[in-house]
Order: sequence, then C-alpha cells, then structure tokens
Amino acid sequence: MSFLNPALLAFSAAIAVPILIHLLNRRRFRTVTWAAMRFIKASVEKNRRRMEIEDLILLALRCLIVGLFALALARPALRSASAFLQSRRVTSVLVLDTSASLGASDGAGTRFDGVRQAAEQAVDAMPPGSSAAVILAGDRVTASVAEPSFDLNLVRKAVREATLTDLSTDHPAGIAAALEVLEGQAALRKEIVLITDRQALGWRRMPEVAAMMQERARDVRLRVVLVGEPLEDNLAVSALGRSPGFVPANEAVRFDAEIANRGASEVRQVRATLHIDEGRAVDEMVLDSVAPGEVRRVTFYGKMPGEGFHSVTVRLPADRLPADDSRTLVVQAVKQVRVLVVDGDPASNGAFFLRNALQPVPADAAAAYYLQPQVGPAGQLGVARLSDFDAVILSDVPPLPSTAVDNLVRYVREGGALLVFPGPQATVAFYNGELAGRAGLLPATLGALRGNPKGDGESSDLVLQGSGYQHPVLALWNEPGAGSLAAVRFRAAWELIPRPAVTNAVAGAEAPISEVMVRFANGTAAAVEGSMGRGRVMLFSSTAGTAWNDLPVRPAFIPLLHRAIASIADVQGGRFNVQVGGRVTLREPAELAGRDVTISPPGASERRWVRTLRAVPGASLLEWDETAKAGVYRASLSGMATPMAVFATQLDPAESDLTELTPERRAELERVGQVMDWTPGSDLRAAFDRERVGMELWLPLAVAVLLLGMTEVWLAQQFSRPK
Amino acid sequence: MSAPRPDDLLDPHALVHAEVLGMHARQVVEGYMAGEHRSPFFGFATEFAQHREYAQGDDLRHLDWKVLGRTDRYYVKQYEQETNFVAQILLDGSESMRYGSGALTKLHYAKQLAACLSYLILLQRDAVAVGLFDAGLRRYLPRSNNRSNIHVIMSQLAAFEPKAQTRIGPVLHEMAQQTPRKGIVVLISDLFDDEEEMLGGIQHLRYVGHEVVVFHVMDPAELEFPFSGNVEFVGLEGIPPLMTRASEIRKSYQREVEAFRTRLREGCERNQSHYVLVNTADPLRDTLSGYLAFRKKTGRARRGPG
Repeated sequence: MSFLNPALLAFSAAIAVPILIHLLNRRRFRTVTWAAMRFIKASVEKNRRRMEIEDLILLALRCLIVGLFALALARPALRSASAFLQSRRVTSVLVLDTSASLGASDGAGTRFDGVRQAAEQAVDAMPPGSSAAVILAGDRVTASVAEPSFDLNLVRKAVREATLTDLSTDHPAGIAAALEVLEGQAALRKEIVLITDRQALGWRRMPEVAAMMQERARDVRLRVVLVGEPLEDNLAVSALGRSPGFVPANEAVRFDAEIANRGASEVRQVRATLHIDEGRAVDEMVLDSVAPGEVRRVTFYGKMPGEGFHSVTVRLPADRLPADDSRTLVVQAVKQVRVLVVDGDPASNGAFFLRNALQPVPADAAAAYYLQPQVGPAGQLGVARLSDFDAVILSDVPPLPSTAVDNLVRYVREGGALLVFPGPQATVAFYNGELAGRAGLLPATLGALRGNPKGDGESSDLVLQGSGYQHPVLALWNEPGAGSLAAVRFRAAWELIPRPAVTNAVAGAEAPISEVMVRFANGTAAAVEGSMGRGRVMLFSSTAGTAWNDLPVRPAFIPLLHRAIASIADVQGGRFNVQVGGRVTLREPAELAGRDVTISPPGASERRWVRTLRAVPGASLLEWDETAKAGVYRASLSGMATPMAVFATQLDPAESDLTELTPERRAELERVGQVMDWTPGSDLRAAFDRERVGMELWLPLAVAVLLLGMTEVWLAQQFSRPK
Repeated sequence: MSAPRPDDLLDPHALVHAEVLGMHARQVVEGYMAGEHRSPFFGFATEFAQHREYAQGDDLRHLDWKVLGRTDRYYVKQYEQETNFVAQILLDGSESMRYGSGALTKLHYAKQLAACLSYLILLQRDAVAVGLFDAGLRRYLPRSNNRSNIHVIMSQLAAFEPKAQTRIGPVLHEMAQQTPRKGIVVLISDLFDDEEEMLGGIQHLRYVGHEVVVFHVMDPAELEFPFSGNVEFVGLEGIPPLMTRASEIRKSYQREVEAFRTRLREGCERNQSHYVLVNTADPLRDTLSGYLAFRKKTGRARRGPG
C-alpha cells in the first residue's frame, strides 16, 4: 500500500471531530422539571442498552466515514491486486528517439517508421483512463505533448506527426526530461516508454541512467522498446573542414573531408564528390577501398563562384543511412580584403615585410590578388577612414594622439580587425596607459622588455613553443611536415600580461576577453588575442620586421599572417558552422535591432521561422537553436531577397556508428527497466500488461464513504424514531 | 405558580353545566337527613321499592290490600327512603401535583375540580368534607351541608401549598376507619404512588360501604410526552435526575403510562369504583359535566325506568 497524496492523510485526525461532537452533544441538553419520573425511569431502563448500542454504531459509522474520506483524499494504492479489481490506468511518457540513426532503412521503411508504429501500439495498449506525454529526444529534447494528456488521440497525432532529426543519440537526456514530466504527476503507475533503435551510442552513459532511475524514479517503470534491424554497411562523411583563412572568391580553396567506414565489411570504389551551392560536383575522389572502421582523409578543391555565403557539400553514394552520406559546410567568400599597414617606424623594415607577406605574388598579379595591403604613416591614423579596411596592422607605432586611438576604438568596436606588433618605438606608458588602459583595446599589457634589443645575439629564453598549439591560427604547425615555430630566432620581445577574464558585454556572457595564442618556451605569452565590441585584436610581443626576430624571413610568416588576419577579420566565420542541435549567434549592426529575420531550414520544407534581432550594447543579436536538421539554414531580413547570413549544421560523426548494444550492456539495461524487441507485427500490449498490475483505491473508498453516509442518515432516522 | 385566589377556584361555566346535572349518589348512601338520595334503609316515603311477605310485627298500614285481594297472600310494600349523602373529597397535595406543562398545574386544576364538586354538593343540600393530603392527611374540613361553608373550603384549598411526597394508600385506610357512615369518597390525585397500597385503600373504603370516585389528574405532556432532543428530567419528588433523548423513548413512555392507567382502571372496576381520567388540557366544564352526565346515566340504568 502506498499513498499518492500522503500529506492528506493528516485529515484522518478529523476522526476526532465526530467524537468531540458526540461528547459536546451530551453536554447540550435542556432541563425539564417533571412529575411522572417513574415512567421515564422505566422507559430509560428498558431502552438504555439499545440507545447506547445505537450511539456506538452511529459514532463508529461517523468516525469510519471521516477516516475513509481522509484515506480517499490520500489516494491509497495497492501495488498488486486481483485482476478483476484492477484499475490499470497509467501515466506514461513516450520518449521517441528522433536521432539520425533512426533514419536507417531496411529497404521497406526506416527505423523511425518503426518507432512511430511501436509508439502508436504503446498508446493503444494503454488501459482506459491513461494519460500520456510525448517527448522527442536525441541529445536535445523537445516536448511534443508536454504534459500527460488524457486525450490519447492527441497523443497519437503527436506520434504520427513526429519527425526525424539529425540529432545525436543520448538517452539520459530523454529519460531525464521524462522524469521531470512525471515528477509533477500524482499517479499510481508512472512509466517511461523509450522507443529507440539498438544503437549502443545512446547508452554510453548507462551508469547515469541507472543512477537516475535508482535515485529519482523509484515509482517509475522504464520500458525500452528496441526497433529496427541491424545494419551491416554504412559509409559516412564524418568530417568536412576548410583550410583556415579567407575563402577568396573565384580561387581554388582546399577542403578536407573524412570518409569513415562504420560498417562491418570493406567497401570498394567509394566515389566522393564536392558540390558548391548544391550544384553539380566540382571535384571528386574515388577511394579504392575503405576497410571496416577505417577513416580516410580526402582533400577537395573548389572555387566559390562569387563573394558571399556558399554551401560546400561532400557526398557519398546513398546507403541505408542517408543522414551521414553527405556533409555541408558554409563559407563566406571574399573578393578583396583590404589591409592598412600603419608604419610606426619608417626606418625599420616592418611595413616592408608585412606588405610583401600580405601580397606574395608577382607584381603583375598583385592587382588581382584578394589581399590588398596599403601602407600609411602613423600620423594619419587619426583622420584615416578605417571602415574602408578589413584589417589594420600597427607595426611598431610610437605613442599616438588620442584622436588616432579613438578612431581605432570605433573601428574595432564596429567589427574591425586589429593586429599590433610592438617594437622599439613602443612605450609602456602609451601601450598600457592609452591603448590597453583608457581605450581597452589591447588584450594584454606590456611588461618588461626582454632579450637584447640593442645587441646582435639572440636571447636563449625567447623560443616559441614547438608543439601543442590550441589556437586555430597555429593549428597548422601541429603537423610535423609544416615545420616548427620554435626555429624562429628572437633577440627581444615585450613581456605580455593578458588581461583577466571579464564579462564580455557584447556577448552578454562571461567569456575570456583575452586568449594566449602562443607562448615562449618559458611559459610567457608570445601573442594574445582578444575582443572588443564586434571586433577582434591580436597583440604580438615582437616586431613585424627583422629588428627583433627573424620570423619575417621564414616561410611560416606568410601563412601565419594570412591565417591571423583571416581569423580575426572573419569574426563570424567560426559560427557559421555548428553541430546539429547547436546554437548559432548572429551579431549584426546595432541599427538592425528590432528587425524581423526569417530563417528557412534545410531541405524543401516550407516552414519558416521569424525572429527579431535583439538589441545589445553596440550590436544586435539573434540566437538560434532550432537546428535539429543537418544542412543549410538561411537567415534573411524581412523583405530582403539576399540572405543576411547563411549557416550550416553538421551531424555528430559519432551518430554514424551503428554498433549495437552488447549483451552485457543490454543485461545492465534490463536491470534498470523492461527491455523488449519490437518488429512489425509484435504485440506490445501483452508485453506491457504482464507488468501493469496494481490498483488505486480512492474510488472504492469514495463509494464506501457515500454508502456509509447514506447508511448513517438512514440509521440516524431509524434510531431517533420514538420507540 | 403562586397560590390561586379562592374566587378563582369556582369556574362559573363548569358550575352552570354541572348544576343541572347535580351530584347524585350513584349507589345507596346512608343519609343523616331526608334528601334526594336513596337510603339503604327502606322507608315509607313515596318511592315504591318492592314487596315482601308479611311478617309478624309489621305495620298493617303497609299491607298491600290489592295483592291480598287477588292472591290471598300477605305482602307488605316497601319504599326507598330518600336521604342526603356525605361526600368526602380527598385532594392530593403532593409535590408531583405542582407540575404543569402550560400555565395550569395539575394541583390548580384539582383544586378547581374539588371546589366545584363541593359547591355542587352543598347546593343540593348534601354534606361535604374536604381532606388535603400528601404523605398523610394534612388538612381536613369536617362535613357540613351549610352552603356558606363553600368559602371556607375555597380558602383552604387556595391556601394549600404542596410540600411532600404522596402516600395515598395510608390516607385512604385512615379515611375508611374514621368515616364508618357510608358516603361518597372522591379522590382527586395524579396517583403517582404505590399501586397496590392505593387499590388496597380503595378496597377498604368500598368494604365499609363508601362509593369511591377516582379522578386521575394528568397533564397533557404527561400523556403525550412531546419532548425531543437531549432532556434532563428533574423529579419533583426527590427522584434523581434522568437524562435521555426524549423522542426516542416516547412510545415506550406512553406504553408505560397506558399500562399504569389500565391497571388503575381495572383495579377500580374490581372495587366497583369509578375511574375518571382528567386531562388538564380539557376545560373543567367538560370534565365535570361529562362525568356527572355519565354518572346520572349509569345511576338511572341501575334503578331502571320510573
């Protein structure tokens, strides 16, 4: 016996009320002076025993009524009872696995078709009076019927209308969501019916599921319905990336893809193709053989047909799991990137090296090259129209007037990219006091000048780290074939002291405002990246020329410079591509705040979402997380034909792994809940009925209270009749 | 209730009705002067009673010559002697008589009844004696046929206040011993006393030749028991209080009362006495005239027509 509203058992104290009333009634009487006492005495003596028994019967009945009523309020329930007494209704949460692996087809239908059919059967198998909620779950959870509904037709409709997503599988998320729904329900039988495939991936956090069911759900039954047939072969595009840096329009850009064989047998003659903007294949590779479990790297080259957003897709021939047969990336192609090089010391060669590194092509090809450097003196920085440039490089600038500093701040705040190479002209007072202090422009302050700035010898402790680069700009040098930055010789460098993490006002969240890109071997920062407003700033510790180091004359200088500029000038680039289910944040100019943005999902769906750009300091913001489908999303300002932004979502590569539950893992699962296999034609009702036993007793108790009440009234009338 | 004024005890309406009917001795009473009631001593008045054979010594004036002429047998005529009677009115003045569910108590009603009866008896030149008793005879007004004595009787009745429990039986025995001359004994009481003793007393009275009339005075509430809910009944004669749910014992109570009355009535009938239930809810006029009419009717039936 258990109680669904145990707190209401406190009402059973009301049993004392009839007793109190009885006692009080005995104290309430009127007095009559009487002569014929002998007759009363005789009558009372004859009737006393009967009246006492009647009193006791009525008192017992009244106490019983109050007690049973309190008991009924507490909703007692028996865990088991004989079949004919059973009221077997359940409060159920159907958790439908909508992850990408459910898209696997056996030729006749997908696993997800099986999920829907099994879910409908589960609804049909519910006893009369049951209620159900529906949760669609991958590694993210969506409530389709948020609260258990007694309208099972609504539940069936929600099941039929459930759609497959490209989310990854993570059953603890769905089970936790279902438990939250059930925790608010006062019901005798609560159950979670999780309908999924046999993919082992979803149960990788099995201990958490077991702990969750143990701690939070002692009164909840977990039923796991496994659908779908095993899938032997599956080839997947498990990764797709571009080389860091700008994507120039009309120039060949390299894209790296990974082809993984997740099946159990070798696959031969695998043809992989590259498509730009969903068009015809622009590049292809044929792999002779991909062994089971093997991941092959494939490089493609493609040209973006013009500047702006383009989708890049790598496709494999269709197999039984279509979700991972292609992978799409969005890139923003640029036609021309203008860079202003501010030469702070014409006597040095910093500007010279920067200009040549930015445009490493013959003079006759320079005009057509996408990077267009322009060198200017530091004195004109206060009046220059910085908004004409995609990036500004300060090469060893001396102290600048405040107008120049303010101009730089405005530029960066509005999304500009700034690279700073301090050198002999730099002063601690200006860099720390003005640029880093008053303007808040630099992500680090200058410390001591280290090395031998005046001498010829190199400093032994100024050696860059040789491996383990975390920053994407430097990730290239993690590969042994790309050489080592540790070979760069430094004579002198400023010590950089990164600013502590503070709240990033633009993002509206706690975020590191500065990040060390690379360190010297002794652990001090050699380059630090930070943000300000919508723009980004990179501060290096040494010169851009050969005054204090020999980096400019090394081959690494050009790719390092290009990647650094691309990294900070392409502020939103990294945010155009997220994993399915991830959040995309679009930062737009402040003047667009309040405008509606229409977002179209991938595929031919006619569904559109309209969201409003939110105003934040210095910008407008739109955060978007309805990204359960893989592919290209287009965000357009209302009334505008050209998309304001295009972004793509990619499948979690782990989802391609269709490895099934091992017997050991399944045995673990069976210890947590009921596990049953479903195939078309299976009868879920019988399987469920075997476990659905027990009854709730409030209704019989309420009927008993009613009957006892009527009996009490009848008896009271009978007893009070003159006798 | 305060003691009634003497003048209140005579109900003019009751007297108007009762005066016509008169208080007739239902049976032979032993009068002490010639009146309108039959005497047990056959006399020679005008009212013929019977013949009997002549015996030596009989007055020849009473010989029925006509019978002698027809039958040659000697019979003398006998006549009933008209006489007056003495009524002993015994009024129960115990505590229990103080009860009254309305404005009128049983005692007040009984006093009125006693006063009216006394008046009627005196009016027809009969003698009346009034005794007030509880556990014993508390007050006794000797017999008198003087009409002016009615004022004395009423004053005594009005001034009487009940104080003690009833002991009817001993009082009746005492009365039987002290009044050997036959007459009418009128007992007015609620009769809440030992039944056997009481009936023994009546039997004793009958034995010495008295006609006994019992007026059983009951309040309507004592007959109907109209109470409901929890009621604590406090006894008037020292009986400990009793609490009960009145409505639930009503029928039982009524059965008890009815059984009590039946026993009394049957006891009276065995002793050839009149038992009259007096409901104080009924007007005294109806009670008195009803009884006197009944009495006159039964008296005629006994004597026969003519």
